[in-house]
Amino acid sequence: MKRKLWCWLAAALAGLFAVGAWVFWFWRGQTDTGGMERIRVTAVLPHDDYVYWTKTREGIVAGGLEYGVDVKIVLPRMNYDVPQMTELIRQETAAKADALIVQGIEDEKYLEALQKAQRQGILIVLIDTDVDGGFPHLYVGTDNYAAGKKMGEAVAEITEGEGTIAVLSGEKNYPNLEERYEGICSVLADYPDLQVACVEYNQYDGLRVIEKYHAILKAYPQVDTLVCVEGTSGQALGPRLTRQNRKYEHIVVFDLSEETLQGLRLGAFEGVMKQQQEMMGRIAVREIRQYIESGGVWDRKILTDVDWITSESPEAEAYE
Amino acid sequence: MNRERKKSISVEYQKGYYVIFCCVIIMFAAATIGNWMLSRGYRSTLNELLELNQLYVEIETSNMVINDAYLYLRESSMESYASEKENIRRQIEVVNRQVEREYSRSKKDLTCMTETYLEECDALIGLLETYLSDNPGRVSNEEIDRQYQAAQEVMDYINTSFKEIYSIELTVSQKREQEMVKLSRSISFLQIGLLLLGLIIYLRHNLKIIRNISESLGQLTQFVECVKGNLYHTERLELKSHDELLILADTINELLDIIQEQVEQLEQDSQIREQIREMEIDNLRLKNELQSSQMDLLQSRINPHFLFNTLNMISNSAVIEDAEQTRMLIDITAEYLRYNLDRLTKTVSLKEELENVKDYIYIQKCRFEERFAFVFETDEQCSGQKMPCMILQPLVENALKHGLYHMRSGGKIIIRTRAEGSFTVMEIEDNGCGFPEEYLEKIRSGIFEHERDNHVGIRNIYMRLKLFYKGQIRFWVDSCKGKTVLHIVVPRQNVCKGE
Repeated sequence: MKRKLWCWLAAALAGLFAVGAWVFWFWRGQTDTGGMERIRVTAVLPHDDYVYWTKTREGIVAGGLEYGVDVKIVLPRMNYDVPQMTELIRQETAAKADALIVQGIEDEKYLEALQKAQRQGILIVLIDTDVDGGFPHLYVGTDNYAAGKKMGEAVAEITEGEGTIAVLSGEKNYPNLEERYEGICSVLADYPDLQVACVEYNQYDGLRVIEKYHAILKAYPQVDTLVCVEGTSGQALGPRLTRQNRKYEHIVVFDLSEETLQGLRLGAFEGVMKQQQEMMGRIAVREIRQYIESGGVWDRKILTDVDWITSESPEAEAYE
Repeated sequence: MNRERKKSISVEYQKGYYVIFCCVIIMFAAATIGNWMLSRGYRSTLNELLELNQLYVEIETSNMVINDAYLYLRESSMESYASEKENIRRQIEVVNRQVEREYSRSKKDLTCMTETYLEECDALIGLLETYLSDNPGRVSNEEIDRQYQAAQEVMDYINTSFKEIYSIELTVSQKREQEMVKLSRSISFLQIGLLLLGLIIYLRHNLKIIRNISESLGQLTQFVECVKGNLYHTERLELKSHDELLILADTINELLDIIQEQVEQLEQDSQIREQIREMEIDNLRLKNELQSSQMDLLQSRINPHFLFNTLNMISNSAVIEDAEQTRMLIDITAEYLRYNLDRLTKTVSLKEELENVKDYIYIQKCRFEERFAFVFETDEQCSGQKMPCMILQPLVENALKHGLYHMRSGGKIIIRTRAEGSFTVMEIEDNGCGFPEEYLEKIRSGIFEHERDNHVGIRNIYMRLKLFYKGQIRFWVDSCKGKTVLHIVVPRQNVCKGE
């Protein structure tokens, strides 16, 4: 009799415990843990509607989760609105963020805002593009010269060392693109029958890419290879070209995206140079945390590698 | 039979109430906790918004003071800034506590921005105070303007941040409210579920109890019906339940045992009384018969000495007259009569009994000459067998009188004695007409003992033997036309006592 009574009591207690556990679980589910001493990092990115910066943003967010860092992504209302980006940097400086992840842009006020932030003790990480802003900073980005060299070697292999090349770049004097171009040229120097006919710029505009695609052939009919050293070109051409309808014998592009993968599958491109943007974002967050916790040298560069993707690569195979 | 009662019907019912009680307690707990959580959630959301708003109000007030100090260079404003600054700092602490409880990036940024704003304002107030001091040339207007602009720039960021936070907070509040509604609904479902579960368990439990009671009562009723019809019902009531009904069943079983024992006792008593009555009747009958026999004997003893003297005188006369046969007949008759008169109430041996039979036969032979033949097939081992007097002679007389009387010649009577194991067998056989069928039937069915008819002699012999051997005799007649055998089997080793 007593045993049964105990059983009933145990069942009642178990019921109460279950209710309590459920309530606790429910309550806990809707609240975040508190705490003041979190590392606050703000990434001021130029935009988020192109896969390059999307991937970078994903890398930063993933790094934040991985390393327990509070990451905030802020974007200007217009793509590459440098004044607004400057304003955002000032705002984050007033908010006393622990670190800022920004793209290196050669703009006076932009750099002044970064200098002020750095003076207030905020760590500056320049991602993708490095500039000499007169303040100590960490640069995390692709080794553009090495990327250019890898691209040049790929072009030489595809063309078997013969032909005329047209280079489609983003913006004139943009350091990253210049470095890539220099890398390509360093390889082409070894192939005398492989000439660069022209270097054109699309100002990161898709419409201008299409325009240049046709204009180059008109101006230089002997061009048989188109080398795109930035991402917008591949993105604009990928969905529109196939092996049959393309006007160039060979096309190689920069940055892996849905569009460039589509171009690869349809035979429009011989290959795509893939940057490791996500990796850059992760590395930036990792380095911030490591520096705040352990100190060390901050003013330095971390370069990431690139991969040459063809239609036979796993990434292209996986694309449906 | 007494088994331990493990359950009680009332306790079984109580268990059902316990279940309901537990469910109500859990429901109450769930409702209390749920209400507490909901009110806490609403209160927390509202408080957070109010605290943020208070911070904004304090900053706005402070900014008005700053504007006043900057535009009109009022010293009172500069002085009141210090107290405003303290208010802001207090409110920053309040918001920081919110962040400590529940981390929010936007709130943390806001408090940091507010601190930056205070730093800028401090710098501005410092410049203004220097400007208003005895040496105003140390600070330029441009420098003050720039500092004011810097403070206002931060103020703009704070405004923007506040808008964002309000927007976020309202969104969060909306989301939280939805979650609270969800929580409230979940609690309601939980309560309904618990109540239903409790009711189902309670009803199922009660149904089981009622079914068990009903089943046990059915078994009890059926058993009582069986017992009512048959008090000797051997089966006992077995109930599966372990409650009060089990005790009732056990009590009924015990009562039945007692009743059956008493009935058996009554029957035994009745049988004993019947046996005693029969024995008393037999005793009375025997006593009566004995009295009758003694009367007869007394009558026959009127003057035995006179009779023997007379017979002796006649025998002597027969000797004088040389009538040897007559003398012999008179002597044997005298001997026969002497045996009858002297030994009638005494124990005799089988040999003496046979000698008496022979005397009787000699007399009868004289009477009937060679009309009947008598054969003795006797066993010497049985000669000493003790027995009552006048057993064989009346039987031989009976055979002669009833069996052979009508035969003119060829009548034969065989007297046999023999030992069979521990018994002595005596047989009287004749080849006469035999017993009537109805008389044989009476002898065989035992009615013989109680009947009074013409065969009083045989019945008398039977009763005397039965009394002498204490019932340990066998007495039967095989009879058909031409052969009648009367069998008497008595214990051989029996020690006979004289009266």
